[in-house]
Amino acid sequence: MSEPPKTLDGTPATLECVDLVKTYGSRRAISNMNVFISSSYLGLLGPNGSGKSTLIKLMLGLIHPSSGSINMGIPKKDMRVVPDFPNLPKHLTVDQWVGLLEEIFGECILTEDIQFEFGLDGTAKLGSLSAGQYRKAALMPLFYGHPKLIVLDEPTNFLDVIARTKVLNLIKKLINTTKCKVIMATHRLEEVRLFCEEVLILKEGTSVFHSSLLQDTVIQYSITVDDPGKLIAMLEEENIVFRVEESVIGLEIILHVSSQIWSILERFTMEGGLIFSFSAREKLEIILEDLYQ
Amino acid sequence: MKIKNFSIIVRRASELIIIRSPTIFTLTAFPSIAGLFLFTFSVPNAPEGMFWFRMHFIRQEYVAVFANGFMLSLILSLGFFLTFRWNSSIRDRSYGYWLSQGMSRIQYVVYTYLVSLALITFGLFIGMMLLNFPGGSQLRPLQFAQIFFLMLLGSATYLSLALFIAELTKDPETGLLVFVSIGMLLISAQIDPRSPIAMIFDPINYLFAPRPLLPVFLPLIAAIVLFALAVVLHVRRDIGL
Repeated sequence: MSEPPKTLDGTPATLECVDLVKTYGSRRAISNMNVFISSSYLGLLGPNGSGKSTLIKLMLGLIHPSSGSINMGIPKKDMRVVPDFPNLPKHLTVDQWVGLLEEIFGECILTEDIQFEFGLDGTAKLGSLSAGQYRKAALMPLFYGHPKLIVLDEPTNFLDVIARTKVLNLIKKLINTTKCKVIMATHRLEEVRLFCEEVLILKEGTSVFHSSLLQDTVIQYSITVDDPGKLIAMLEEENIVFRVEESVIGLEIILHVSSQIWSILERFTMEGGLIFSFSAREKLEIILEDLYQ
Repeated sequence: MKIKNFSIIVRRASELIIIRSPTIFTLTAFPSIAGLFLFTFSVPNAPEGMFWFRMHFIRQEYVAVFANGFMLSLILSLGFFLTFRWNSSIRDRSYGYWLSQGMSRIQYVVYTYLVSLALITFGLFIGMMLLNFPGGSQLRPLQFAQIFFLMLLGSATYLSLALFIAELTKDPETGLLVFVSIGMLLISAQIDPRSPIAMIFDPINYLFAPRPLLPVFLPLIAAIVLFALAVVLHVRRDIGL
């Protein structure tokens, strides 16, 4: 690896890929990727097999590019990684695992007792934990020592809603305490929004969208109501362009952002209509939906 | 290189993946036990010769029986506990996990190699002490040293070969099969003792040879070259996570 790439103001870039290609036999997992990420908080999004995990392995130097180059601004010893399916030493108990992490990385950086927060029994062997508990054990290295970059690959897989919230809050606190950089690969857009400023969307091993999340704007509304026919008639009356999609929660009426919608919805509810859901859809969400279809 | 030159993560990962209790016991004890076992049953006058007897004169073939048993069982142990486990730890992603946490590949290989060699050396020394005193071989100090170093260099060569074949085959089962087959052939086949192959891989021919310079020099070079090749292959290898 060459010297860490720098941004214009001289600070190290989080990630730089130049003509990056990774092939497995005849299959191209990463194809001619050129990106320069200056932001400290990067989200990697994309459907299964889009190359997110391959890109992470390339970042970590676990696999080598078939051609091109990839550079990180942080030395590997200062990174903490939570892979999507980590193989932890299953014969160790949770207490031994915590002891090992303290020995290798140093004391826990947060004031919270992570083991207690995660509700892990110290005498249980890692191999005997449930999928959710095992996930929590895999997340523990993040909190020991002083990481400068954390790489998270589907960090909340297998976690229930409460555990997920707790884990995300602790990660947020860790980022605020250590000021570490974050690279997060996930399918969940809301997690990317929580941690990331910049997003890279991959499809079939190449970058199809790269943008700042701070510039993301609402471009569509999605509405579900008790009487879609009535709302459709009102929209047609006002000459508002819309489309109707069938979803698991019923008919969804999707329309572009327009100030007229508020008066129509007011009239709809005044006349006894019920709005079940109303959501604003940002550009990123729409791109992702198109990709996943 | 001192142990403290290696980072804690390298030491702990190596202890969790390769240098674990069955490996430690097997590499230390099994070759010597197998060698002594064969030695005991090949010595005549068994009633008093089982152990604790004196040979009065050195019977080279009996010492060679110990060496043969030692090397054969060492090859079997290395085949499973190094070649097989090396690749299976890469296949099951346990090694990849520690690499992802910032561990150095080169440090890991070097540390695992040195600790394995230290275990084999300790086992060989204890085995030869048992062969010499309770076993009754009564080797003179120089003979003892010559046999010990030749066996040690042979062990180091096979250790390097085990790693090299693991890196070459990249598959646990294939690596085990290839290494054990090659090792058994090299030790058992009747190779001309003057050939370089015999000097490198069959130290038993030279246990009592006067001034065995080439049989010391060649395995040392072979061990270093094979180990260096294994490191190069390992550094260039793709590791799963």
